[in-house]
Amino acid sequence: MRYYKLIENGYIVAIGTGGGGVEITDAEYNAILSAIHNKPPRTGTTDYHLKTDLTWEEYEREPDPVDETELDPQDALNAIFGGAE
Amino acid sequence: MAIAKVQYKENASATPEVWMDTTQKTVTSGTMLSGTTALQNDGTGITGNIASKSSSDLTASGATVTAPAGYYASSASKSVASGSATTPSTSITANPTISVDSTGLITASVSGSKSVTPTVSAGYVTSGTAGTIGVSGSNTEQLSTQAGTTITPTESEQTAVASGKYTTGSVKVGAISSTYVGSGITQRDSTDLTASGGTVTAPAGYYAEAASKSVASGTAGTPTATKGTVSSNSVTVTPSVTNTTGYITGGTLTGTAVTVSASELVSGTKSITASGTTDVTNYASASVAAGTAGTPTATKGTVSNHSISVTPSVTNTTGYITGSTISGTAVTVDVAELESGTKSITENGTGISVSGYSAVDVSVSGGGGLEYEEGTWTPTQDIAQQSISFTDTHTTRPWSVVLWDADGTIAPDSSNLQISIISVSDYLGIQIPYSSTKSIYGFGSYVFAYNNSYSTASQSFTSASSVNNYMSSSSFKAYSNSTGRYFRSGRTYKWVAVWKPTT
Repeated sequence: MRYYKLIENGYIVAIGTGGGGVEITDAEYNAILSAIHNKPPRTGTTDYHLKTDLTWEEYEREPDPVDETELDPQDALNAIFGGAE
Repeated sequence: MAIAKVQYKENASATPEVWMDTTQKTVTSGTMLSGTTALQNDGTGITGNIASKSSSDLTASGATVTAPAGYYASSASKSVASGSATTPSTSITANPTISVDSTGLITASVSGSKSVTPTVSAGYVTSGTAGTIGVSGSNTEQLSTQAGTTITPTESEQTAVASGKYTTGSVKVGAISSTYVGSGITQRDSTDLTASGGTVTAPAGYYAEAASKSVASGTAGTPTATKGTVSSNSVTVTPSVTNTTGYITGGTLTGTAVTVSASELVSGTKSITASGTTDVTNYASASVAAGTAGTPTATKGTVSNHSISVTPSVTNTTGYITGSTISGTAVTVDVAELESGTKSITENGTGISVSGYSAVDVSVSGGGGLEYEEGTWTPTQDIAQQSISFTDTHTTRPWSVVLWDADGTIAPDSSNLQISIISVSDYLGIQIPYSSTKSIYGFGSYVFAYNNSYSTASQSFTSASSVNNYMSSSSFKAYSNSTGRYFRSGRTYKWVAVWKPTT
């Protein structure tokens, strides 16, 4: 199984199995996964970037936008089958 | 207070009047003889009261003479009664000290004293001698003397100090010589020793020094040996040596050895025909018969799939055979004897075993099957979209992709994306983020909600270009077009991409 990590702007943004990213060993994959599971909780607009040394760096993020109205079942089926749009 | 000036009107009738100053007058009746008068400082007259005395007024009692108070116009004296003193009669005893000096002179000395008390009667006694009796004196006596000496001991008696003699030095007896032998013992030396044959005799007596005596030297003879009877494997030998009389040193002399040839001990020839170890004792030679090496052969036994039994054998004649190698005829086995039957393969695969078969038939149904690829994705941030790559190289975009939350547990956060499914069928596709209270499962172009209720917007694709915006032959885009929906950090999403069959 191929393990990889995605790095953007010096931060690890994701890990996974399959294609893409930079291939890593299963040991490094498990180490990063352990770090992700121990991420400090996000509070308000404060979030954290995971640095390549597996330490977390705090930053200010945009507040969550307001949720949109949920789709009713008929509209969803229409979307699936290419119905009324 | 100052005493006022006292004046006495000596003659009041005179003109002028005569006054006498009596202020300094200190006379009293105690400072004047009895019967005399004087004028005091106050002008009044007084009479003295000091009595006149003489020797007759003196009195004696024991050794004390008393003179009463008064005025003595001349010297006075009074005699006391006379006394006496008698020297006591006594004796004194003293033990003399006696010493003898280095010349034999004896000195006796005595010294001592004793206090005595005289008998005295009351009265005046004139001075005399103190009451002490002393005694002293000495005398000497010279002894007959003898000077110190050292006596040399002899076998006769000697007088060291005569009776009544005082020795003025040490009288010593000299040491006996360490080599002294009494007159009753015979002194011996080497000349007293005698030799007879191998015996040396030492007579009794005192040997002040080591004594020795040589015995006559002898001559060692050269040893010889004489060979006696010779029979198979043994020979009798008689050794001998002749020495002259006398002392012989411990050296070794080698004489003439007895020579015995091998032919005297063994004889005959041993004939050997059997292999193994053969006893050739008593034989002068051995003869081994030559054998002939046979050619090895092998016999083929039972033949079954992949194995065959072979029995090798070789036949040699009796006798000695050299170590050279002879190769025989090998056993030949055909492939047909080891494998049989036909292996039938109807499915694609690798590493399929055809063991035991002599032929293979392959019959895989035509047309390509479904291709699929799977993977996982775990974001570190809440994220609305992410491009995910395929591992293999494909010529077309996938027919459908399903993405779901593989962690299984839906967090109670209804405002964020929990499950996202992308399903594309040519020109038809949807992407449905879901809330925490609902989950989705599905495949292909059909998507079902857990409670049959969609909770957010979806999107359909009505053209190839719009589908290609989300799919390519090398990746797909996990995407939420609904504001506020996110793939959650720390959750693992699993995806499966499927390609349509090629026929």
